[in-house]
Amino acid sequence: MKRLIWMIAAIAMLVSLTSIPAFAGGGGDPFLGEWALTTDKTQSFEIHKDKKTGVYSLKDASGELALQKKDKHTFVASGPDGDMVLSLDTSSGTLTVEKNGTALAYRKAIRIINLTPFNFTFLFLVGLIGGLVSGFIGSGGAFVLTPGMMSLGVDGLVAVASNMCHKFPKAMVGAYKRYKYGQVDLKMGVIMAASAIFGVLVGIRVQQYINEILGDAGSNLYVSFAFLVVLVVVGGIVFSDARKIARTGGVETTTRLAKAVQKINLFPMMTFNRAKIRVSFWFTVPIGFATGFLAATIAVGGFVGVPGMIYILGMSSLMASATELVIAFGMGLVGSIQWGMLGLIDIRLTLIILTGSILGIQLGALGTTYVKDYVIKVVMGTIMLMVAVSRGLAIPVYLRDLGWMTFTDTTAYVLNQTSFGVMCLALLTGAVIILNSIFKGMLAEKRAAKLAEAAVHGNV
Amino acid sequence: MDMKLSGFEKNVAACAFAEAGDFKTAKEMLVAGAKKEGVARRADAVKAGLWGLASACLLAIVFVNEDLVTDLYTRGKWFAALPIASVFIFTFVHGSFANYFLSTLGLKPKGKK
Repeated sequence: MKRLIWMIAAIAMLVSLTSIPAFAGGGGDPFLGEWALTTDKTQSFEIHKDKKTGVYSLKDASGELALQKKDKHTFVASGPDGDMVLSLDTSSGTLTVEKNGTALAYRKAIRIINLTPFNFTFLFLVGLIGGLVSGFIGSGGAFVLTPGMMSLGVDGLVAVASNMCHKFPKAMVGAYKRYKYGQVDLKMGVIMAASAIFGVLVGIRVQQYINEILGDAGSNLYVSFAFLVVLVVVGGIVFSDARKIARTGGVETTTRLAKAVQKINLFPMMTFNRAKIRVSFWFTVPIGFATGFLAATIAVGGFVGVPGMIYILGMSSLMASATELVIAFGMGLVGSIQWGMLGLIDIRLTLIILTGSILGIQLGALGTTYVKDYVIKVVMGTIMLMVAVSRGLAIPVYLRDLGWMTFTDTTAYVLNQTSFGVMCLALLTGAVIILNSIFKGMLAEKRAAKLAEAAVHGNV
Repeated sequence: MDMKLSGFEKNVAACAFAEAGDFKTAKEMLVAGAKKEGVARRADAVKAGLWGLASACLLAIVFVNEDLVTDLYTRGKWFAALPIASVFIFTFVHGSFANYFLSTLGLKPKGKK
């Protein structure tokens, strides 16, 4: 059975490495931004898109030129010195510009943002807090980073790539730490990671299909709506369950659904020794798949993966959140290789975030040894519901972009900023609950040690 | 015997000795534990300093040569190995620093002293 698991994982990895389309996984329209000539990086141009009219334009030192979209990956333009065809090769990330019989290759320019002390501190702190949350609940610590980096002036795709490249080593450290604490079911993690990678592949295709049909605004609306539904439903279940457990003495019980699932004897049945469950392989796969699917579309796979392992398979919160880190490592590594092959990782950004997040994830991981299992559900439920509010605030802006609502630019700006602010607040709230729980747990441990010491010395 | 016991187990064992009337052994266990903790913390601080220095050096190499690094690391295709390998190396070095740094601050998983 072990061989079968490793074979499935290896095949999934290989398939994914060869078939994930370039520029997949979010970050916006791949055409937009600065493109530099591969042979001379000083020669560059920028592609813009007018949000209201949807018209693309090319801007370089000589002026601005309107572009007409020919198909999904091709633009044509008529300039003063002849026609021009721009075609994007999504497998290599190269934009070929054909003009007067000559073809020139351009690649996305990595805009070197000025790393001021503020930028450095901002990235370090977001990494630290994100790492703390990820180490504790297994996921959800990095969703602020992509919009955060973009607000510093980083290109959308570079932000997604650099964020992804910091996630997998962070998850690796968290998984290793929690494995040492006896909280990771590696067998479950590998199976889930393999099925999650397939989920990512399908998720990307669905995302691209929606983008083709609905356009950018429609796609954003779909993502936000899916975000909202998943977060409200799953977050609501997790949060109310955590409150119920807190009221009844803090002891987790296996759900009736999980007990029923464990009773179904469907070949091949698998025993997960660390998680202390025996369940059919066919119930683990859909949860892994859903994790990957949602990671590719709404970037919060762990918010279904962890509750799925708890409520459907019957794992404890502690075990599920730790095992999620193995899944995050698998998906993150594959994604990072893809982004790296497109040359979009800004290693400086990745390393700064890593300095904070590796510290944070170790603190979050050791924090799990001081708290009761249900605290993980409290943190997860709180963050999910707050992020749902954040996404809810962004929906009117997308409805406006589609022309279904009308309000001023100022209102749209305020809604966007508030949405981002609530997202940051969600992460901060999670971090505060975690630190408070760790502090209380450590204090209780110290008190117990002091009482023991006092008892001994009192008798001397 | 005490080499294999965790902090919590030592406290419980000391209590057991005290309850049995062997106060001397109980006190010795607690004093020895406190001394060992102090020595271990100092050793962790030194290790944290060394790994921290190594981590800072790696960051300095990247930032001092940021133009060259950015150029090489963003060439795509097989050059993808560079950022992936770099984050693995940095994670190992900085992860070790973070581990000893947290230990120096007295932040250890429950049951470990």
